Amino acid sequence: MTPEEKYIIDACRRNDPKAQKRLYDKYAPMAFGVCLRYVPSFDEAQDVLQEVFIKVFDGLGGLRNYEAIKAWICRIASRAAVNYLLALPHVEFVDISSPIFQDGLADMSIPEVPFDTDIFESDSVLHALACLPEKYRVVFNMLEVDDMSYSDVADTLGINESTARCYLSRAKKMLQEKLQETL
Amino acid sequence: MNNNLKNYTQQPSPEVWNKIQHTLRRRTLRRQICTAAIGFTLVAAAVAGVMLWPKAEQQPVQLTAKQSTMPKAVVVPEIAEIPALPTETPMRKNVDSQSETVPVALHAESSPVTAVAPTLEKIAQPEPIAVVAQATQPVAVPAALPPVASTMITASLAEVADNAPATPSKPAPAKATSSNVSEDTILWIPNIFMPASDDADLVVFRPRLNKKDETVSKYKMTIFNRSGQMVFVSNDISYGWDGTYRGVEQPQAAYVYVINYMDAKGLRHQRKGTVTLVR
Repeated sequence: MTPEEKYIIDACRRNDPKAQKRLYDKYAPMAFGVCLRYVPSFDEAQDVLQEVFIKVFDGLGGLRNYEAIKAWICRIASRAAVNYLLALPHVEFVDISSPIFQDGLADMSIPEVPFDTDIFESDSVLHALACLPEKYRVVFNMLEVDDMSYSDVADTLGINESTARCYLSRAKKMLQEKLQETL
Repeated sequence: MNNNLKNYTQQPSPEVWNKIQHTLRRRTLRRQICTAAIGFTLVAAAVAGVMLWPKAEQQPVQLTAKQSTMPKAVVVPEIAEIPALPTETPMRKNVDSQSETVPVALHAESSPVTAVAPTLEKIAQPEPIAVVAQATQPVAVPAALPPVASTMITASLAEVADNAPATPSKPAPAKATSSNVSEDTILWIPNIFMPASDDADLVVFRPRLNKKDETVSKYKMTIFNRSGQMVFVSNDISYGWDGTYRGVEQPQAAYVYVINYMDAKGLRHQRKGTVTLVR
């Protein structure tokens, strides 16, 4: 981290508008990428992004480790996006023990296939992600892309870990099918 | 693994920064106003405290004197009126007919008296004068009357207290008939439309009349987008929105519509809701 970046962060803490603009310019594309992974609609993702940066400027005073600012903003973005999706009326996480889950897909025998999206174009992966139902998209993003732990995911979404595992395997399966269609 | 996705970046539109800047600026302004207001009140309180300090010792005496007189001032005229209004049992009608001319606060006090009047008359038949006389001192009333009567009086007095502040806030009943939204079946409003569709019914967004012979007048439909900007307005029910604003196709999203119209009976209606534009 260069001294200039440190200076910018310090100035942001003093509510300096120019420094805030520089910080935004530097990290907005990255944060927007995170938002778009969760919320595929461009407009809605921009709403989330706005919320993210309000939170960033609010919480900047509590940031100890300047080196971690990128990861910190990423985390804020993913959390804001998840909260946005959870607030939608039609997004509902169902626990695996519920009778709704007793369809053919609920078998836990699906092996955890190593599934790497790097062989595909980012845009096509994003497009496929956008086609997934919200809950699968959220679980896939949190576990596979943002490397969160199962317990964190379970806590955030209010489900238990085995349910999260099941959601992930379904999400992967659906994503693979979508991507193979595009190939 | 998944590194492409992890490092995926996308440039947001410049409007987002404007919004953020706007919010930040407003927030700092609000904070400044808050601190200024708090400082001002503190200073004012301090000044007032210093100014009123010598008088503060005399203040409580005056206050208790006022408190003891306050209930008298409210109760006395009402109960004293009771003999004057004995036969007017349908007082409510009178109250309603007068309500256009006389201030509301008066009726708030006088209308519960109807409830008091019969009970008081029944109870106080042996010694009506004594009750009225004693009623001027609210503390003495329960002692002079049997226990049931005293509770009834206190209950009706409590009604007075309850009704008095509530009545002025009620709106005038004359307007209540002009808007009736619940039983509205004249218009059917779709919740989705698709400008690119082959189906002619889906191409534009407009409400449909449920029956052919229905008519609406003073029709006005306004449509807003997610940021509250008005994107469409129409005064003709057959002219609907095709999903464009100033020639630009609007993005797929939910839009808010507000439809005002008047039906054949002359009742005004308003319908609000969201419609989803599908590309």
